[in-house]
Amino acid sequence: MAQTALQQESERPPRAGMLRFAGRALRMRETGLILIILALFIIMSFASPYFLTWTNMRAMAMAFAVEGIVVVGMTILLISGGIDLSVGSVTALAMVIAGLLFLNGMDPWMASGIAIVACTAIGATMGFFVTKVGLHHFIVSLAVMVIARGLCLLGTGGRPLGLFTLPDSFKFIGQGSIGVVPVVLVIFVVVVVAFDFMLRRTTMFRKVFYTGSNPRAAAYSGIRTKRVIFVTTTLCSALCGIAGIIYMARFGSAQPTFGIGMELNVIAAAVIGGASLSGGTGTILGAILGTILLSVVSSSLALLDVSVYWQDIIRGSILLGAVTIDHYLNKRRR
Amino acid sequence: MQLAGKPLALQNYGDSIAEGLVYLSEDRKGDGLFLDMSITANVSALRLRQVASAAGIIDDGREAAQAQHLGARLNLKYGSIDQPVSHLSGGNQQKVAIAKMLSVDPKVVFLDEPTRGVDIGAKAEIHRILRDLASRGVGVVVISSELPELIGLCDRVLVVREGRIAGEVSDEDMTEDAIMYLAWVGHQQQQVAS
Repeated sequence: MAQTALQQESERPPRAGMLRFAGRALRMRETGLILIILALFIIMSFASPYFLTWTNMRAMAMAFAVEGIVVVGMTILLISGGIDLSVGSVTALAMVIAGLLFLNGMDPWMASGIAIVACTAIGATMGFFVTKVGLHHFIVSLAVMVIARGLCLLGTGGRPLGLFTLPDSFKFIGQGSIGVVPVVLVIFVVVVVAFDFMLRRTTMFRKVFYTGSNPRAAAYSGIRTKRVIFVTTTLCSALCGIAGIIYMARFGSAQPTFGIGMELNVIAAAVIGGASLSGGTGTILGAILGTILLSVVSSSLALLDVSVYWQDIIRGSILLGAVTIDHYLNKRRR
Repeated sequence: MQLAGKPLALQNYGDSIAEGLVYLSEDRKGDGLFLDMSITANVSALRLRQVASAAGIIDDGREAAQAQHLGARLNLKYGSIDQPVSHLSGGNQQKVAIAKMLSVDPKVVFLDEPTRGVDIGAKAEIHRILRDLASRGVGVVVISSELPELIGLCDRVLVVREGRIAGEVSDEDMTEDAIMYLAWVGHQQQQVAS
């Protein structure tokens, strides 16, 4: 009997393999997203003379690149079965901490390092409440969202911190270019490539999928699921810290009210890209395409002079649509 | 607890897998399988490092080969080794769960209702696989409430009643009547006596 299976295996001709590949490529959400993004590009290049300009492309790339770093963290957290609503305020908090330390005479790199460590500690605290105390990610991160925002406002008195004296070498990470490529984009690509590889190929991150897909089965398989969730929760906040520092270098200021509503964008991008809110599925590539799609949509809406209020309504509707599709795909899978 | 004369100190599931003791739950969808993940990923879940380099990088080729090899041994029927387990029939899902256990070369396997919700053909195959394991020296412990299955499959049957072993039957004593007697009649006698 084993032999027949082996025969079936060897009999499968290469043609079937190619069809399988083509079929999978068509089914893949990534392909669909690329097509939608291309369609939007074509439509917008006719609709607005400014869309396909270098300035606009660069502005869009800058916009999605930094947020994309947070999307990476959120995607990994979603795969493990968690969620983080505090990303916007933790990003702002990184700016505020680094900004305050810098204004008090600290070296900006040192200040940034401390800010990132502080954000990581916030993530670890959330991880503690989720895995040791046993609270839900949603409520823990909701509380931390408000607390971190409060800390931002407390530290700054609610006013943006002007950091005009930041050295050029530091501003370079947010504003500079290598040739024509913004440094921000380079950092983003490095983060994406590194985490995409790790998520697909390392045992450590494979456990994130097992944990999110079926926590009980993962535990019975000898995986320390609580540790996995602790790590993904911490990692997401750490990446928020890094993003916050890049934003600070880009703006040359620390804004305590920055990133309000960011969680919506970030979660929407990950879900549009195929991350499931019930855990276990998601890809970095998909999530990045989701980020690019949302960024193209908001840039288009701005260029078409759509009112800001309408932009929110449209973004919210896109999220609702993406989650609905995810819900039906999930139902079919079970 | 001892295994082959060696005392075991098990702290968690990981320890028991490392010692070669694996368990197949009766609730394969709830406790056993990662339904939305590939056959490959399911099979390697118990010991990922054996398909990975020392640095923890998974070797895709080695991982797929392991799943294909065990799939062939269990006569698993699938379209692609990368397809989600949820696309398989109940019997084939159970075979994936068994392949997952076999991936760690277990010394003792515990199976709770291994053929529940499985079609007749796959059931016979699962029985064949379990006999085959036993003949290779693997300890096979089947927990089942289906008497014909136990009688057809097992060398010895231990009847557990209210958490205690009520008796053991083997060879020609292994009949439905004998098992039922241990499970129920003995129970009533006890009640009469007390």
